[in-house]
Amino acid sequence: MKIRNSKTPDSLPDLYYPLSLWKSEIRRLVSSQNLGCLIQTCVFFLMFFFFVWLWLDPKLIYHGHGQSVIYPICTSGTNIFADFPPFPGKVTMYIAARLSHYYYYSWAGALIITVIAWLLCVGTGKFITTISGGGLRWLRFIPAIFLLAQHGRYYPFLLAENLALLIVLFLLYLYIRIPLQAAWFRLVVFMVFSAVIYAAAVRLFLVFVLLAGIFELFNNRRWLVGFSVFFSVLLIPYLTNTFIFDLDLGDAYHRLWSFPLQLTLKEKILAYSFFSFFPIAGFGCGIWRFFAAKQKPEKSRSGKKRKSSKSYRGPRTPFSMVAGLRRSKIKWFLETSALLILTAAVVGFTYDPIARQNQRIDYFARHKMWDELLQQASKPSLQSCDMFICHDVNRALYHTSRLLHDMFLYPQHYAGLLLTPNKRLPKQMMVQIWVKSSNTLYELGHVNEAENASYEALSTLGYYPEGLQRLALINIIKGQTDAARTFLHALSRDFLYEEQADQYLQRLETDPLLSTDDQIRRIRSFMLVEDSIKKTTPKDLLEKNKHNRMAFEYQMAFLLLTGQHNAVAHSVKYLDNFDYPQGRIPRHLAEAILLYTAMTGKKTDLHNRRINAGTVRRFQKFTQLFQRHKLDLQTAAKTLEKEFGDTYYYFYFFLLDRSELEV
Amino acid sequence: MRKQTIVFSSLTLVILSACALSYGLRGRKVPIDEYNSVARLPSIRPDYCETVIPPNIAPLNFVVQEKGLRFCVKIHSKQGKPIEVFSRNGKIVIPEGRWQKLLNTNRRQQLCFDVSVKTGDDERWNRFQTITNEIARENIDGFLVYRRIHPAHSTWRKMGLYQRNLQNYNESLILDNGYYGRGCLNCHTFCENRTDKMLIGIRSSIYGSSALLIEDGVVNKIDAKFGYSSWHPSGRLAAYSINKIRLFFHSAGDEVRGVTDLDSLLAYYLVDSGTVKTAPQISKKERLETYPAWSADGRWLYFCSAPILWSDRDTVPPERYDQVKYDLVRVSYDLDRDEWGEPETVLSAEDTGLTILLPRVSPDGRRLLFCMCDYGSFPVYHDSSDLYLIDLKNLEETGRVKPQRLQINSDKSESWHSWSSNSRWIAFSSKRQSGVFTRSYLSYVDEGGRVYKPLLLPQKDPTHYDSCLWTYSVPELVTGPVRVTKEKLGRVVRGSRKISVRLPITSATPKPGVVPGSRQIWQERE
Repeated sequence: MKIRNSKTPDSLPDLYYPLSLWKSEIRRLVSSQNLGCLIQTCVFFLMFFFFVWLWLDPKLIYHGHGQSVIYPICTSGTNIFADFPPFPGKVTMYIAARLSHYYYYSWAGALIITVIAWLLCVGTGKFITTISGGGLRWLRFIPAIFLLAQHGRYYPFLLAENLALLIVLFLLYLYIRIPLQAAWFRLVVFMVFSAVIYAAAVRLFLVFVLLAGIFELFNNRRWLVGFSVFFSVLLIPYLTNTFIFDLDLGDAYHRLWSFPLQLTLKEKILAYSFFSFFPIAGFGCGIWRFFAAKQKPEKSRSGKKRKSSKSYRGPRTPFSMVAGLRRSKIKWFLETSALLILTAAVVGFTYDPIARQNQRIDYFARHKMWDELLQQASKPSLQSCDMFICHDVNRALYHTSRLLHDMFLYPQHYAGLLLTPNKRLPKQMMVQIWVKSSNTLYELGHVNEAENASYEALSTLGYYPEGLQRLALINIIKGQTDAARTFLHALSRDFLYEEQADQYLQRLETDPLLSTDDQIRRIRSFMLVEDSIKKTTPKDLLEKNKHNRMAFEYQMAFLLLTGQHNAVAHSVKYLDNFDYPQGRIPRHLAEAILLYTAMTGKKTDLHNRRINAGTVRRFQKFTQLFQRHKLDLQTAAKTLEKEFGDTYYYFYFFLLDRSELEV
Repeated sequence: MRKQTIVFSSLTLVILSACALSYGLRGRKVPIDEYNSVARLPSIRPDYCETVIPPNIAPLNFVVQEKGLRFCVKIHSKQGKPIEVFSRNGKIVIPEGRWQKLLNTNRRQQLCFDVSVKTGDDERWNRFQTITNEIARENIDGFLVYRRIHPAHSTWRKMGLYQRNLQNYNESLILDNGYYGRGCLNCHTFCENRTDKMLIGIRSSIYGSSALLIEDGVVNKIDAKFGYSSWHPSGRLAAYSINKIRLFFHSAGDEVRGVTDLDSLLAYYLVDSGTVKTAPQISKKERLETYPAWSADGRWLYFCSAPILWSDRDTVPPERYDQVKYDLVRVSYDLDRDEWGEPETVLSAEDTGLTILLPRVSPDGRRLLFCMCDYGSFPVYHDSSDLYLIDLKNLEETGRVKPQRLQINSDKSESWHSWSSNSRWIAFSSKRQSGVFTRSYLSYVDEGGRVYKPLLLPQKDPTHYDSCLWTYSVPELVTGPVRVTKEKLGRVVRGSRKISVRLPITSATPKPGVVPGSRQIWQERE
């Protein structure tokens, strides 16, 4: 069936399939053994798809774009080749950018990931079987498992690199299949392919070179070609850089192994393990084949033509010694179970539940799903103080009218309230700060600060649809309708936001200032009119409009988080400006007033309001218990946490970080 | 076999015929003999009405903003065959070749646009009043060089220096900050509108601040931070400013950003000796000097100068930053002796009540174009910034100047102006379209100094600016393209070879050998 070169009977792969042999090939495919293999693959990838879709939830990755700089997302008008100088890997980066749009829909994102995983599986299977001579096919699932592990951690996902890997495997497959015997010709083809890979998928160039080299050494036994292939690692970047790109030579080589993303050590290990799996597996299979070949019967080495056999599946190897077991259903079942167990174990080991919960909180905040956000944030695994979670939680609490009642139910830190940019923070964090704070500042009515943060995020991310929308609204508020139209037209080029942008554009036709829009009217009334170059606080906004409830609550929250209960105690009079229940004081304000009175002995004017009797009783109980444990604060904190952990005074005595406080 | 060939050939013929037919019908012209007259001008975007057009400009494509199903624009002048453009969506895209021919044969003639709109298939055409423009006699310089950047605050990602062929729509990159690790590209300066001698300011946290000196295709890196610069007409020296610029933010108002020069001075780079010098006349300790501009004969250096109102030169913004107003000053210079005269105030801020910025002398030496705004040194952030013209002949004759506020100003910022080599055209930046995005405009200046209604830099797609988030700033008219490749410029920026110069030490001078952090190196935008 297979046409082989008589000079290298064991080494060369199949060169071509005459049409007449397709029939037998199809028959082979549907043979019971391959059918089992097919079912196994289908089961695995079906489960893979549903797991990614329903559990990993690719939309969480899409919405991570605002948090972690990944790719410049391409809109329909983006001219990818004109806007930037060419650089190695640009092609895969932009394909990834295009594809990453579809992560907006979880099912579509899951489909993309599954297809990539499946193609990697096919490519790996082809390579492994070629190198090993038929055995170790089960290794083909490893890349898919790596992909799951990669996505389970929600770090800036390596879609471009995964696509690059596909290109590598495809070109490698072509390289293996080319019916060329002359060494120089194989080298020329290799050089062309590697130049293409360097240009299109630079970070996987090394993988391609290693795999091609392994193939030449172990399969073809062409030592000269093999070593020339390895040598090309030095040559190709230099040549490609000379003729196509214009990088520093050091940079041209540095790009071979560096990831543009900031990864933690664990993530780096995972990423490098994934990409080094291929050469390691290739080398292992080559060794496997080498030793297996030694055990072959003499007659196959003597140059005699091997008897053609339909059941021939490579050289006899230790693996093939248990060939009898191959056809058994038990083996299929065991193999499939082992595969699923291995997958579950790897995913379980590498999966990052905190990252998932953070992503979910971010997603809920972006979509103003406040109840879901608070439910997610109350999970015990999230009881650590993350600045961004604090920020989102406080925003959710405000929008559900619970900020001054329940804010200490959640971990708190004053820095998370308004996310003040700090030049000392890394750029990655600054982007998150700009993205998140622009929303809050906008809602507070601090329009110029929100505009500034949106521009900063837009400039850093390159493209940021929420930012475009925000800037459009800000310009409408400021009466700059033409600028708003420009932002909306730009937004409408993104198919995900097209409808939304068009709706605004239509509304602007009839009402250029959107004067009938409640939200716009509200923020316009909060907006500062008098210019100041000093840092503006919610207090300034409150002075501009005493009915700005969000500014009031954020100001109170800030005072509480910075331990200024005396200022809180003197702010009760402002409650009348808002629709708080008549005669009542929000719980945390009441707790602060009680503490103020207890600590200073001064009475607070409650302006015809009263503190809930339960709140008073609770405070008294806390005081008694606190006095009892006063000398041992650690024990006191532990003892009192369960009962008073959600109170201001517990936060004040045990959680307030005074070392960083710059009040 | 024969039968198959016949069938295949027939099929091909049918397909080709269908394609030819549909192509022929695509731009089918319908003679408009009968129409209703509409007694008003049509609304078109961009506004290309009643202006003066360069005879060598690319077609002024526009959108007819009238309700209709079919649109027809007939473009005609005194001589030559009229151009008729039909459209179904209101976008009028004029054929380049015929446009150029029409303009060339009708210099100093009127160019008319007859806009007709049909609101239904069975309706009659409505013809609006004819839009008339005048075709100038003098060409505009063939290329416009500008910087493209998004409206940035304290961070940025992409910015590039581009050149646009004004006779068509070709835009090509001169240098992009992607070539040197996302640094900053600031001002670009040409010697007498020529591209064979130019300067590009570079700031990079990786490769340091420098200026690229391009002379006849040879690129050198000057190891100095050039601010705003101006070439002496001889090409033997370039005056430049050294500015300690800081950015701050306003809590209210349309423009969030504010810029102030904590300190600044002027220096000059002598090309032959590769040295940098300054003189007490242009670098007074108690004053801020900036925006140098040489007169056409090279005898005078015009610049802006303001007293420093603060003692603390580190606080941002400094006290009374909103009271800083620059005077227009000039100082004589003897090139052969390298000697400076005493500065004299041409126009004082006290007289105008405004700060005077960005002086640019026309190449014929006759006029000086500048802008004035409320306060400060960065007009693009001030809506109050307007363009003004001074007749220098009057200055020489009477010793006094009378600034003329140009009619072309809008209620938004106008700034970053430049002259064409024949002094008949100006290019400038304006935010008139949206108040946010800076666009480039071209205006004709006649011999009497009258400046005509500006036209927005035309684009092939007339809706280009609708969704364009770029700002086009510092438009400089040049007679030919920059021929040095971006790769070469990028290599020089990244390279270690440079012309080392010793800078005059002031508080505005960057410390030698220090590569400033990305947040310090560059503050102002656009």
